[in-house]
Order: sequence, then structure tokens, then C-alpha cells
Amino acid sequence: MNFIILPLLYAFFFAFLTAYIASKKNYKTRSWFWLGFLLGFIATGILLFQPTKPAPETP
Amino acid sequence: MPSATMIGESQINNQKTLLVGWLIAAIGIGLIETNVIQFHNESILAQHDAKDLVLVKNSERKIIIAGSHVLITNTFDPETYLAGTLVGINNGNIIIKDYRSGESKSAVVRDIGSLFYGERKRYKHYTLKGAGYGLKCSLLYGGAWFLLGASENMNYGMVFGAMATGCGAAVMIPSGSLFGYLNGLKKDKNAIEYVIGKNGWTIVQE
Repeated sequence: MNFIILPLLYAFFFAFLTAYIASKKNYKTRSWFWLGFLLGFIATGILLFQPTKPAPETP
Repeated sequence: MPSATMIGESQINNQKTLLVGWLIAAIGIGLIETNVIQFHNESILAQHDAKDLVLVKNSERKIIIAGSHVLITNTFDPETYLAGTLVGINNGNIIIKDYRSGESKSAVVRDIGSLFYGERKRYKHYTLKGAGYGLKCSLLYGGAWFLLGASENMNYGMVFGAMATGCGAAVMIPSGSLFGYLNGLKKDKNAIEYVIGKNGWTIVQE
């Protein structure tokens, strides 16, 4: 059972972390969530080196 | 500007949800990795005819159930040993799932000099396990500092996170290894030896 649940938890760990950083840097949260889920720390690493986007203007 | 306020609030709520999700995943990993939560594995290696091991000495009987940690040594060469989890005893052979290879290996019962019940000679396993915990703790520590810094500025987060991970690893990995080694030593000491032979214990299959 461990061999399914533990990798899933690690995938969600990096997915939420990547999505959180993406949200902070004004990137698409949902896309980065799935990238974090599939690529793990690689996606987090890639996102960390991306420049912060300017915040979208509100009406 | 009610609409602008709504967008800002929804973003904060979104970030809170992500943080909560991240924390839940981290707690789940922590609980499983520290064996607080354990899953029962149905062994696919279980052999139909293999039975629990029974040790007899005079009127005394000890039953070592399949799945227990054991180590057996050879009568003719006491330095040679086989350590792992007991699969069972079958047709005069004791079957053990080897720690190192993970394969089931068998030994002839009449060639066994001693049988240790408990985890022996697993210092390396426990030392590495301790080091692994140290690494994970330092990553969590670095992650916490990263989030703390990132809430102000992303660059601060990266610097804080990297520094905290490095400093944490320098302290936690060696101490984790030491704790792991000491744990292995404790388990080694707690192992019970049964000397097999004419004046000692006899392995029987029931």
C-alpha cells in the first residue's frame, strides 16, 4: 500500500508547493499545480528561476 | 471598488487553500515515513507449505512466527550468516527473506549454529534511515523558512530557504545518522540468541 500512497503524497506535496509559488509569482496556479504533481521538485525548481510577473490589473 | 476587493480576497483564499493542502501532504508524508501510520502488506512471497518456526529445548517451547526478524549463522562457519524476515520452515529448510537482496533464501536446518530472534547487524540500514530523516527534516525546515521569506519577497524566500536547508542539513543529517546507528545498536543488543545443537535448542517443524 505504501508504494502507492507515499508517491501520491509526495506528488501532492510538490503540486501544492509549486501552485503556491506560482500564485505568489502571478503564474497560472492550475497549470503549475499539475506540473508540480507530474514533475515534482523539478517543476518547483523551474518555477523558482522564473521572474515574478506583474500583478494583473483589476478594473 | 468592491470587485477589486473580491479578486484580492479570492487570491488570498486560494493561497491559503494551497498552503493547507501542502501542510496536509507534508503531515501525511511525515506520519507514513515515521511509521506512525502503517499499512498492512499482504506478502506475495508467502509460501503455502511454509510454517512458523518452533524451537524446543527440554520441555520449553518457543514459536517464532513468520514475518519475524531473524538471523541464522552456519555451524561450520559462524561468520557466515543470513539475516532477514522469516518466511517459514519447509521440508527441513528455513526460508528467510534477505534484507539486502529482498529475495527469499533457504538454509538447511541441520547446518544452523545459532538463531537470533530480533534485528541484528542492521546498523547500516538504521544509520541510512536516520540520515534520510535528517535530510527530510532539513528540507522541511528550509521549506518553512522559504515560505516565511516568500511571503515578503520571493528573493528573500529563496535565500532564506537555501540557507536554512544548508544549515539544517549540516546539523540534522549527522545527528539523524547517529540516532539511527544507536537505534540499530539497541536492536542488535535486544536480539535473543538460541544456540542450536545437541545441548541447545532444536528446530522442529509442526
